[in-house]
Amino acid sequence: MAGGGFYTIAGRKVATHQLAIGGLVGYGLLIKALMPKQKDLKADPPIKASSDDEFKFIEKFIKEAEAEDAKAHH
Amino acid sequence: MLYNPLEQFTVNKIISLYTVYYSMSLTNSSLYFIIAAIISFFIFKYSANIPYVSLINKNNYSILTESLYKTILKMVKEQIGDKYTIYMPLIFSLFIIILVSNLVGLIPYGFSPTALFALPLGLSVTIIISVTVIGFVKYHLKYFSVLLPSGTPLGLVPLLLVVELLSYIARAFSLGIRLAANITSGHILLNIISGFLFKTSGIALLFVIIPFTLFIALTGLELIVAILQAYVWSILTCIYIKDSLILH
Repeated sequence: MAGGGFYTIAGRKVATHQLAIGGLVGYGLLIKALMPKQKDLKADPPIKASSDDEFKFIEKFIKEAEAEDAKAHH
Repeated sequence: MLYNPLEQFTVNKIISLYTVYYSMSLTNSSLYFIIAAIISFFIFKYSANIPYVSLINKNNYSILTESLYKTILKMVKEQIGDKYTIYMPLIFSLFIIILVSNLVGLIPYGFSPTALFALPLGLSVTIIISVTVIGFVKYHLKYFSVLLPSGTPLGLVPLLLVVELLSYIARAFSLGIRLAANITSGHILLNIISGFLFKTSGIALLFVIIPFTLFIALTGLELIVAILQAYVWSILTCIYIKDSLILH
């Protein structure tokens, strides 16, 4: 009446509800592991560069400009 | 109204009332639901409060209400069991209010609140949340075994767990959608046939008789659907309550 079924897993008795909870937790962890990790999303506009060197140059230039800007404010 | 069969389900505000966060306006849907509640109340009040009504000498109202009560009581006893007739008032109230709400829409110029998805879905989601709470209060964590039917082979457990979880959640929606879809489709059909009847009435007598006969038959069918859907709602609510009270 109280859903008192048991499963024998590796020689141990596991209650039905424990198996159900375990299964749900397992699915939850699986979904969490399969979810793509959220990258730090920046609000900056994307850098459109035709080559890697150009991309690095623009990135470096922006960093320097931001650093100078920050210095000027403090 | 004649060209768009869905226009009959438009919710119009009768009395506008706004609070800071919510609109609490009285709409045609809520008005007809209130009317249904008043009708339900007075049917029972009238059948119970007539001085000359006795156990032997009954009037038509008391016979009607007593028959309805006995039918639902029998269903509750069969589904949930004699031990749990505590749920009878809930099931009976749901049956009556849904039945009258369905029937109110069949009166010309009437409006059926159950034809809108908001009311049946709201009710069905509330019922499923409530039966889940009942189950957890009664069985605590053991209630999770509702997701695994007894005798499930171990190999099928991961698959069946997902299937049962989805079916458990789907019950909340299927209960409400079933009622609303049945009532909505019936009203649309009646609207289309009546529109056709109106258009062909000027052509020839033959074009009136056939659609009119069909219309009468469909109205009778809708009457049966209205009663049947209220009964189906009640019996499914009984089954869901039983599932949370008696674990398999």
